[in-house]
Amino acid sequence: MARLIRAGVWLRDQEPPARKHRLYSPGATAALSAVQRLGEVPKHAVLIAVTASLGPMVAAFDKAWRAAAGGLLVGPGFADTRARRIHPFTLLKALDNQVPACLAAELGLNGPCRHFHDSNGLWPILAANINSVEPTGTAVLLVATDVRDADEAVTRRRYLAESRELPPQEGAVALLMKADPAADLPPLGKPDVSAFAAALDFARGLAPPSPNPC
Amino acid sequence: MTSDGLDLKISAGALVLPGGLTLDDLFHARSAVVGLDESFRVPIGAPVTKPLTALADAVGRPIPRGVLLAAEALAALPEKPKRRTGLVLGLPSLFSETEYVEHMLVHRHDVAAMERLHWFLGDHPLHLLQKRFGLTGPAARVDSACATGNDALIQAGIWLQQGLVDDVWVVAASAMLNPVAVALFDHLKALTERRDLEASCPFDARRRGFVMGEGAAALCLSRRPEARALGYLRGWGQSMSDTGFVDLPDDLRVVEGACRAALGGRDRVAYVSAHGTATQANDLMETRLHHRLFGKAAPSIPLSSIKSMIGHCLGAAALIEAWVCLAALHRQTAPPTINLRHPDPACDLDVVPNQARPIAGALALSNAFAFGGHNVSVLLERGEPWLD
Repeated sequence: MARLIRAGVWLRDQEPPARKHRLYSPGATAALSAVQRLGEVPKHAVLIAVTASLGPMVAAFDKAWRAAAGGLLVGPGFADTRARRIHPFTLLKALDNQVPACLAAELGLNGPCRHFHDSNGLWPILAANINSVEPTGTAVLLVATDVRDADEAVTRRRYLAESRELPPQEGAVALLMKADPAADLPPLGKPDVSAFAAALDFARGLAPPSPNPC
Repeated sequence: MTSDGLDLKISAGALVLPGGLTLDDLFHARSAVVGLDESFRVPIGAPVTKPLTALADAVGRPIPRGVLLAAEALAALPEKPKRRTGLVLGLPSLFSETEYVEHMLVHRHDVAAMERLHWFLGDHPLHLLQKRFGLTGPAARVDSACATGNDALIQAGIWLQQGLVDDVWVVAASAMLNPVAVALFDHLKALTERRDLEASCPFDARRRGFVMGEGAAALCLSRRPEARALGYLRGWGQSMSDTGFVDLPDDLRVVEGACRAALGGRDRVAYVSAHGTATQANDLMETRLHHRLFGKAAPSIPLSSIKSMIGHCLGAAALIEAWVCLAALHRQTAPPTINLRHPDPACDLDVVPNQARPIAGALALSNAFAFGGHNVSVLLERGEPWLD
């Protein structure tokens, strides 16, 4: 049974840590803040990261194009003057896997990494991943982050008509877990996902409800 | 990590390669690298040229090209989904960001057109593919940049090992061959400066960076006893290098650890599929790594890079290479590293120069090393004979 050892949370209204590197996006910085609240993390921990879109790219391009002096928006001139207004690190900031990369670089993590885009139905998959680590006795660091770059939010509101309301909460959470043979609970072994599967099938109209799905 | 006695079968696969190449072409040293038009900051690349029709019925949606490529690969699979077949989608986020930016540049005057770009974001691509192909099991989208294909394959292996599902389809796609992405990669000095069509030349002394390609691969994995086994996923290893985003480590212990975990104690394989990007640093690192892994046997274990033929397909590269590894084991033939006219003496390995060559054995190691420090290796084993 995996035991939760420590939990760390960073929310938007808290002070972020000083960034060592300017390529980190707000999402990565938030994740780093949450993990730092855990204290020491084993270097060989299995890192399971869940991230939402970080997306500073659109805002970066929008600024560059606004600063450029007219001309075609796409085509032969694209790669010249205007492209040079895009900071080289824009590419790296836009990569979602920069969250695990940031954590590895800042904290010296060098264990396995599994990185997911946030999506519906992810929890059974995360449980299977945590379970797969259990026999090795290795610690698991589960990190989830969702913080939108302010410039990006403005740009998306302009072009995507996204809501002007900020999300109710943004932040990151980090959980440090470890297999605990002494826990007075049966080992999970293979996860029993039959109830989940039955519920899923029922919801999709594929099967009648189980008389005792739990 | 190994599969602990459970057979993780690979029952089918399909590729969408640039330049209309087929799997067979990769064993005949054919290249997909062509000249690009003047809207690109670099003059060469390896684009997919075939029409993408698998989602042609999804009218009215600006489907990202990466999703179209993924759908094309899934549509080419010769299997039908079983009940509760899972889906692992390997699709690095950046593809959609760059397409999104391109779309913005064209449509910035038209808010309505931009609003439709929600289809580019979040888990919309995942759910679109699930619905289109009738995949009713769990689904997830993974992202580890250029190692995404191997990580997607490993994720499928974990789901099967843990009993989450009996069948998983894995698909990885990359469609970053657009002016925005090319300009960004060029900013990072990752792309070759050369203009000739032989510029994708891993392990050659004239290598100057990678040539960007695009493509997709899809594989079916199963744990069912009755499933065909064209090959097996026998092991895997993952690690993170803590050296920063684009730097390669001098100390290879962490990289080596991922490979050794995949090898599971084996000291020899029939073939190694190199990450082989044709950057100065990567190819030197892989040479050192190969020597560390296999010691005195290293010069006799062939290692090649199909990126010499199809360019670097980024998020799709590793899954394409995994399927090519199985084909190599089935054919007992290593695909070549082409464009090797002036071998770099510092890369003193058997890199299967310029033409395919026989190999002997049942195991292949496929390596991928990505921006962000992801080191991901998989060990594949030959299965039953293929019906070519």
